[in-house]
Amino acid sequence: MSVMGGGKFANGAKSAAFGYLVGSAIGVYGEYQEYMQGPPIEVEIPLSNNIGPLLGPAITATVTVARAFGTFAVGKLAQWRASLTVAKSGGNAVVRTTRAGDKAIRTTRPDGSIIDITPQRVKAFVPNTHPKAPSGALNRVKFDNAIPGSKGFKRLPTQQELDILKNVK
Amino acid sequence: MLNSLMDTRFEISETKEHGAILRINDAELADEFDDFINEDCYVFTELKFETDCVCFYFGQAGCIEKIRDLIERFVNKS
Repeated sequence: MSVMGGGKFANGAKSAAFGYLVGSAIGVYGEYQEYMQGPPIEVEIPLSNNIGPLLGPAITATVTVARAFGTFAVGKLAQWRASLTVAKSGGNAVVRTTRAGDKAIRTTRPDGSIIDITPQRVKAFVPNTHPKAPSGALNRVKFDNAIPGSKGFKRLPTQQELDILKNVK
Repeated sequence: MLNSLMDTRFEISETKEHGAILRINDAELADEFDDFINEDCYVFTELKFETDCVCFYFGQAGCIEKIRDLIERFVNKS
């Protein structure tokens, strides 16, 4: 039985509503096609929108591309953003899976400080500069807005940090 | 001096320069141990993240027996 023809619906009103929805969908698709075939557009690629603030100044690139490619490129770059930014900033990130099955990321900034993010909490560490300290030893950072009971060493992740975890593969 | 425990995830060693050191070769376990010594105990340590383990430095005043007790308490709590 044809759905497009509306024969599936015994109720005439429902069939009419369905026809309206199909018409709207076709209209939207037409607008989309018109947009995609339009003149080239400038696309700002936010290479460091997500993880950049953790590592240093933001890095963005503006390129002029065909609309179809621009849409594709921005989507793809959103997937690669975290690793691209880390590479460009000179830092590195280690991704792991927590016991709860969530993604967690530990990012080392160029100055040696570390931020460790899970969906439940954030911990931060700074290099110990004591002359007798072992090479690479870190001190914990105390937060003003710490999670109660954490003795100041953990805070809740920001929305931006949660977005980083969402983009991590 | 190296003191391997029954649980191979934990490895305690001691050097003249840096004192007692605990290595945990599981990042999640190390994170839980970090919470344990900060939230449930009164123990000062410094950390070092390595490729396949996390090191906890207890310093020259740290002692292997005390660290072993700490690990036992942590494991029994988990």
